[in-house]
Amino acid sequence: MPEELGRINQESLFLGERIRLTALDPETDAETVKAWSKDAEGYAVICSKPPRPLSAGQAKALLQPPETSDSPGQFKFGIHLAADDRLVGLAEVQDVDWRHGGAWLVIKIGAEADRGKGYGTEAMRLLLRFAFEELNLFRVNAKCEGYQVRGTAFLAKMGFREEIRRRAAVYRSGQRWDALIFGLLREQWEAQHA
Amino acid sequence: MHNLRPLFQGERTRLCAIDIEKDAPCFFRWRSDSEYWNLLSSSIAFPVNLRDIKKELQKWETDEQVYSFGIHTLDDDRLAGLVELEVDLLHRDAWVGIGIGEADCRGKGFGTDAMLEIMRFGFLELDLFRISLNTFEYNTPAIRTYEKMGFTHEGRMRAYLNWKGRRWDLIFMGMLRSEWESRYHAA
Repeated sequence: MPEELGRINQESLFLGERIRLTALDPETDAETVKAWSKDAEGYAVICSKPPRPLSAGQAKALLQPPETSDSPGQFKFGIHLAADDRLVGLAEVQDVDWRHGGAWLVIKIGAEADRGKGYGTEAMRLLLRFAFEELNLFRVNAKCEGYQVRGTAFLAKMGFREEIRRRAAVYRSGQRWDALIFGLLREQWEAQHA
Repeated sequence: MHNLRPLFQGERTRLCAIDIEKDAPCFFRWRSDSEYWNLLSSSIAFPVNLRDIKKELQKWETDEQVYSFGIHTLDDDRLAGLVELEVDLLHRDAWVGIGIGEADCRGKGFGTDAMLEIMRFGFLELDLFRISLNTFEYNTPAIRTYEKMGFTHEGRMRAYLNWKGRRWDLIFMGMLRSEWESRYHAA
């Protein structure tokens, strides 16, 4: 069906209405990531370690693409505004389990001013299509911690279901929080898009 | 009193350091049994050789986040299985994994005994806040054992596993320090 296949091209796969998923560039993106790391919530965008302000060099090291192998399990994208190409966040498919057809999805918007504008929603739509139609996964997972109220609501809105509540598994800001795992199955994603 | 017994010394088993040269042939034999491997790991079962096994054991030996032990029977000092604790010191959480590789040692309470020992080590010596585990929906004997030991179901990742032609859930369980104390370490 050449006509059907013709609709699939790279541009549409990674292009939303207002955002675009791109390869990360440690040279040009390091300054933005360094700025995000100044507040703890922004740091959580970059990695799950305890927050600390990053130098430009440390930010650059974090953005280095993963080492390639025969069966890559890590896909890391920058979320850029289509209008002015500004980097507003990161989108990742992590630890693809090819045997069982699963992977972890991560969407983070770096600066407070860019949150709540729907950029994450658009990025997640693209990431889900990539996960199910290109990586042919059976299900995807996402993590959230009890204090991340917006993140929890976001995942629910995107069709994920809370599957695991690891009681008091996280210690943050002097308090214990549950660690949540959400899941979305391919068949449910397909039903939403039928 | 139970609490005063030295660590690593259970009622029926002892947790020992893994002796790579001596123990590798046992690990190799267990690993060659794909049915056993599928109860222990969600990764692909495929034949490996003794050299691969030794390399794996060497990796554990130097891993500071993973405490691995051989489970030896107290009666005749036989290596019956292995138990390991992967520790997240930041959140004082740890993942426990256990397998009784010797078929004739299963169903005799060695696994439960070794689990209690590694939990005592985790809570008393590593000062953990909780211990976590996950297991597979098709491993019903293990699930029943963990329930009996007092682990709480914390959810299941639906249809996570692809095994023998159908999908199965990945099951998560956990025990908090307070739960362990009131059950096993009451004053």
